Amino acid sequence: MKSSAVKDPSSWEIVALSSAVAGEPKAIRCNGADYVLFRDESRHLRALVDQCAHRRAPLSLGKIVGGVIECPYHGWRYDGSGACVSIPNLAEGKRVPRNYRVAAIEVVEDDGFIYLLAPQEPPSSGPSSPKLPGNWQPFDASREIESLVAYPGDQLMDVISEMPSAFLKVGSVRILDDLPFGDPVQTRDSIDLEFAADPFSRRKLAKVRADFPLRLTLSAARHLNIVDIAVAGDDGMSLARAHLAITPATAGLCVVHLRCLDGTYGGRPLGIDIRPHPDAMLVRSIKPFASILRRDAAPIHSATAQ
Amino acid sequence: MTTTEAELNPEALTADAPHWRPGEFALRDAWFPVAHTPTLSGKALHRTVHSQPYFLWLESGVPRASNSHPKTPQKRPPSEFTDGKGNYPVVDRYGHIWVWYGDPRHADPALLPDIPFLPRHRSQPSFAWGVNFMHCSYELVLENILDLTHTDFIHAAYAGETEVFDEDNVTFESTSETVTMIRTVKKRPTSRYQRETLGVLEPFQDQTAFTHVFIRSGVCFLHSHYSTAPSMPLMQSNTPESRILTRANFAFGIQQTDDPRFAREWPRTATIIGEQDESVLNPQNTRYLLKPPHRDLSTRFDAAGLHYRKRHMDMVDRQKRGDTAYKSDAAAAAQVADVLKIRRQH
Repeated sequence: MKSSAVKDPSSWEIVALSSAVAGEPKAIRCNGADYVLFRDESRHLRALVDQCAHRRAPLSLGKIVGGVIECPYHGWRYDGSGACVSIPNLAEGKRVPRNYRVAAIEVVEDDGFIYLLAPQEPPSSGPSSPKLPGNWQPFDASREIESLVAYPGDQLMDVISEMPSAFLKVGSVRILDDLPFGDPVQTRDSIDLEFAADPFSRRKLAKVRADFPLRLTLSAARHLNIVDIAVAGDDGMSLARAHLAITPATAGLCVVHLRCLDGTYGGRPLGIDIRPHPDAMLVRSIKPFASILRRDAAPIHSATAQ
Repeated sequence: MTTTEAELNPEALTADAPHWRPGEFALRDAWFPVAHTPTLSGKALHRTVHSQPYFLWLESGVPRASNSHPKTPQKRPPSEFTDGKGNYPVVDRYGHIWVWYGDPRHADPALLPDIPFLPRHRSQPSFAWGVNFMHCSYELVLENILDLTHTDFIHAAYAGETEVFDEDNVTFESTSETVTMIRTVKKRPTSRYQRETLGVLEPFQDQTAFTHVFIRSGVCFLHSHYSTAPSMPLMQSNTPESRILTRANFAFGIQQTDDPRFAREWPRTATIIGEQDESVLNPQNTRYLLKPPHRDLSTRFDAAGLHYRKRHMDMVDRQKRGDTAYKSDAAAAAQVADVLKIRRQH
């Protein structure tokens, strides 16, 4: 399930929840590189390469002083543009040379997530801002989770698209991966899927069940590792929602960011959650289809395109 | 000794060692203190120097060092670093077991550093010695030791809080084998440790801190003089076990202080201070290891560290050409009692 093509058109990566960056610097690792996120005096989000220009100590171990970040090792301070603005004990009258700086990285916030334009070599010719699907609907989360998962980040989205129950949990609801409602729907910027879902409490009948009261819908962005997940009734009304984003941190490790809008079903709480790691037996049974469609820039089946 | 003032402009300093690569080359022909003498017994210890195995044990009361465990039937083949039977040169001195890494024919005990604050033929009491591990190359540890301005941030509770001092001057001296850094600070706030543990009442003090490092082996001596508080020198081995691990066996010169409570209390801080250094050295290492050459930026306070980089690169270049000999200034470099301003123990 190689997915490098997903990243090629754009190097925007979702790296953290907005709420995770408050008063302290936050270290993130994305595609093997280290960055530090912090908020300046105006509360604007800033991102720098997580390496002091002096002796390469991680700035993320330092602290924020008056909106600039201070290196923990020798106290060099950098503003949001990456410029070194102060060095302790410089002789009176001596100014910090202009070339003393670290690389600043472009970041934006949207829908409670932080997007980082990860540098690539050669430089990417991708979009100038992160490209969420056109029908993307932000919401105010009732619950947020960030979790390390020992699984390749760029392949985890494939697992979710192909077999959601291998990684997702929906309270007292069973996701029926083998009962999709139709083919995946390709749009220019997403791949949309729908699966049947059933409360665990429903009594098992001897005969094959033909209808189900719930459905799980997924809308996975093409050029970002983010997916909109909803549990809906058969009337289409959303009962619980989540936005799940993945940061490919390093080889074999990713960070999953989950923003949830919990609801109820049958008088019981209903929320979307994740497993500690994908279920190996379920992953083994995947027959790749949706993940291949997700990677194709142009819709394969124009008849099904919206 | 070559003496150089550190008052240089920052841009000039950065030009000193732009392509410095810690961990790139294993300097050879040096004595490494790999174990404290009291830890040696008939049961073999395993140590590593530049990724080479050293097994140490006592045989009839005499220390032995070999590239194979004495009880293994499968002996490793002798290497160019051992005699024909896989044995390394080994010496017991200053409470440490020293092994030779390099051509065994060059292993002259006269090349052992002189440690004026440790007894020559016995070990310190057990509370005065121990070990720390730094997960980085030993070059980064040595640069950290020569860079005493980091103490203002990493070790502020022990060295004194970060403030603007009346005077802050860093100078260094060097030979082909050693680099010595001396930092003089006037009217610095006393540290929390000095106030709360030692009961120092004065709010300010003058400090002179010395560090003396041996480029090949990583052995270093550290000492400070405080105008209002006691102090004692420290020897630390900084043995390069690999490019990602440095063993820092340490021993304090407790005989140098007249304050018996301080003699017992101060060695306890070694582990805490080691952990504080580890917190930056470990992530620093990954940012140097296997990365393309990259110019670090510097200030006048980095003069000693940058000079160490230059001396280190000079020695690497020399050894790459096959020249591992000690120069004529090596003997002078080993005499540091006057530099550290201490009483000789032997």
